[in-house]
Amino acid sequence: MNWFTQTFSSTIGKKVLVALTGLALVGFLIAHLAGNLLIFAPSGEGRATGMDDYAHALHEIPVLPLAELGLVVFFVLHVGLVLQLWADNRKARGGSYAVSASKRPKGPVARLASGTMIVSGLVVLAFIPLHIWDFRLRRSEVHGPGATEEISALVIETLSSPLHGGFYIVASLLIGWHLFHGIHSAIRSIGFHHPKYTPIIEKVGFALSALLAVGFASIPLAILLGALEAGGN
Amino acid sequence: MSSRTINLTLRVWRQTSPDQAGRFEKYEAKDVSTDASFLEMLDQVNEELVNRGEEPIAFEHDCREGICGTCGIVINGMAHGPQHGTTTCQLHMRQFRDGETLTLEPWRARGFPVLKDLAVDRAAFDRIMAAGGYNSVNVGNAPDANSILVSRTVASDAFDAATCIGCGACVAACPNASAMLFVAAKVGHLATLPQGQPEATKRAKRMVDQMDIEGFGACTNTLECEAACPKEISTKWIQKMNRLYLKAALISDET
Repeated sequence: MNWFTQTFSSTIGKKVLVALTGLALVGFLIAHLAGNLLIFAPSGEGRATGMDDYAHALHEIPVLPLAELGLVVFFVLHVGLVLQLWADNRKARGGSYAVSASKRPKGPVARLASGTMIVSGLVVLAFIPLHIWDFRLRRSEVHGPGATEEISALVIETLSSPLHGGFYIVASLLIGWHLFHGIHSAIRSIGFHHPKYTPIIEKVGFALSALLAVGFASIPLAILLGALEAGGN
Repeated sequence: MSSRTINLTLRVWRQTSPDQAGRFEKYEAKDVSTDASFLEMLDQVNEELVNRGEEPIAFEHDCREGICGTCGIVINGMAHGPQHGTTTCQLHMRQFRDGETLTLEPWRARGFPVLKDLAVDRAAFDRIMAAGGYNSVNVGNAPDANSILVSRTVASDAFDAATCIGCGACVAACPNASAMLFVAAKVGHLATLPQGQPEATKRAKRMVDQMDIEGFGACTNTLECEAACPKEISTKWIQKMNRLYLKAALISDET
């Protein structure tokens, strides 16, 4: 093994990669949410909503496929390494305790969040193929590549099914739950700790995870409540 | 302070040897003084077991002053019991209520195989220390006093990490059985002082590599270790170790 593979197959190296790819995915989510929330804004170019203007502008970026490829690579790395670490960590524990308790003063919420990272992650992992099918693959299948139907109409049509919209809400809340532990943990994993900034990072991480959860969930919720209807808002 | 006595029910992990399956056995601990330490309570139970011709409960202990790091029992799911900043030997029975049932388990980790009952083999920590937990550069004779200046804050910071007694409670408390807090404390206290700095990155690399060989888990920042640590060592040392490890792995000119 050369120095590079050796570094990133160590427990610390793997966690650093998980943290860096995770933080990159958080960056993607922020941009994704900003674009999504434009569904609540009017279009400036005579389309149904601001989201449609954004979608058109986004698809005019020539390097978009490259960015998408990067996203896939980050995602696959994050999930692959996490599953490997999860298996390794279970093996390291050996047997489980008959009685499980914590001495952490911070309380049960943080403990539950860190203890359920694999669950929240796997639900989000199951959500993503459906999400890509809904708004990417199905769109080109139904309307052909370069479909002319506006994305906001498709979003409203798809998510007005209670089951479908409900799953989107659950997935949105779980991604927030995942990041509740994920953001500050990732910053620690890359080796950053400072008595002044670590408490701020924790609070910003909590706020950001709540914002992402509520932001993403607000769209299916608004659609289910009838606040967003096809053909304009 | 008046001393009382309490009665307890113990569910103790009994395992005759490393390769045999263990099980829980129930014992009554009667008339235990609240001034007794946890290990004194176990001594009392063992005395009765020996008098009855039964095998006493095996547990490790040495100084019984909270400074050697030999003792360690998971009591009701908590490494070293419910009190913070305390080793099992310094835990006193006044922490428990009359009639309580206590579940006693050994540290559970692949890196710490159970030898017998509550005693585990922690030689993995010795091998991690042997891999790099020392200074080996020749620094000549003892320098004149105050020729190497170390500020009060740096000295006490290094001392905070150096208080690690290697008991293994961090491993026991971590959901991943990670030894990061132990290794980080050892890497950190030397790297904080001038004498340890020439080898700081190399030491981190060697100790982390050995930690991985021993089969301890990765850190998921649950902070359970610092809550269980009898010396209350901060997880900030883990971040310092990560930085030193990355520096050794990615920036140093060793290939």
